[in-house]
Amino acid sequence: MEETNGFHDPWVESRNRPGSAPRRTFILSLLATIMSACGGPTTTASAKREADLLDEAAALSQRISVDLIAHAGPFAPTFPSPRLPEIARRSARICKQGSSMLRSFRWSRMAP
Amino acid sequence: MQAGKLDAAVFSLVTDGPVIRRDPQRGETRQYRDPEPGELFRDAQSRFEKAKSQIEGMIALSPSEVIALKKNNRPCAILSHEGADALEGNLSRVPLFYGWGLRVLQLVHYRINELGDIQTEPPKHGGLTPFGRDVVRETNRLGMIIDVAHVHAETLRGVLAESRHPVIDSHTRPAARFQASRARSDGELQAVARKGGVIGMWPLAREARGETFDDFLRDIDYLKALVGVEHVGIGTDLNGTRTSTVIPTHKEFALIPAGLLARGYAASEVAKIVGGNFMRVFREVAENRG
Repeated sequence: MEETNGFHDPWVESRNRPGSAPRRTFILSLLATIMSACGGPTTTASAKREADLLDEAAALSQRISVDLIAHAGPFAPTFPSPRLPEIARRSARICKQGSSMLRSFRWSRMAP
Repeated sequence: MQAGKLDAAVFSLVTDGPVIRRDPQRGETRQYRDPEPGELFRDAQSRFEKAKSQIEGMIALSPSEVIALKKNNRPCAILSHEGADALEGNLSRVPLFYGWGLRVLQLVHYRINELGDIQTEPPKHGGLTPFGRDVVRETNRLGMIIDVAHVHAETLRGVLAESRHPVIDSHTRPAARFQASRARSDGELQAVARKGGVIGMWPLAREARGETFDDFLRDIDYLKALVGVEHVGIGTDLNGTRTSTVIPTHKEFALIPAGLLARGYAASEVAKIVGGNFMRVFREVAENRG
């Protein structure tokens, strides 16, 4: 064990333990990652990422792309929606129900 | 299609169109009357005849034809029926439709037809009917892809038990992420994947719920984690939905691979999702016909 003058330093103590070298390498690489992340994106890095994405996209265009379902052009669905008169009838029915409710309400209020 | 870097699309003709409509009270599409005898076949036939003249030269009948058309920089159409309602219970119409050039058959749509129950109505048949089983066997024999979109969970179970080939669910979403009557449970999605099939992610984004394109991409992440990248596809349902979609035209299709790459997907994974997986199923079904 290394002389520590009585100071207990787990880092120093662990240096010569079996398996300590990979742990140090891991911690150093982690620190490097954190430091580079704290530095924020660089122009070079984002330009490279953009170039990589463009390369990948270009490579993709050589592959087949398929939409599993579409109804474009002549395949557009033609199922009917409620026609306007029907909507108008429905609205009229609702209004009629509403007004009869209103009438019965008035009636009950007016009844002795 | 070319602007969106899209090579092929399964163009689907809605065959229960004359008898379904949007129910304004429930906000859903439902059957509102029974069809007249022969009505749905005649409707499909006349609309197909009109469509045919417009897409002549674009129709791909096999995976090799899709590749050949791509080599010539020509987009192509793989034909389908959304709902097998035009069969009207007649099995001999399956080879007839194959002869028209159909290579995909979606078994049901918004009407409980002769084949089985649907997702959006209470079940009537208890799953896949005997006629539905016959149709599954016939499509296997001919080398047509079965599309299980819209089928009830019990119908799905029957189709997966009966089919020798993988199937597709052309447009759906994982119910765990996107609550809708047309979404599928994790178990259903895994069952389609176990069969070797492909699940088409449906790019709906309901504005009222604040859903966005990012939600759609996140649902792709979810599906990929659930079933594996080999079983994920895209089904835009272009012009087929009145709900908001993040892919309103095929021009926007290119946003999907771009979005996935930006999320860290490998190019090989993106290639599978945007078409490679469908092509795998198309090949498998076509090569193992008979």
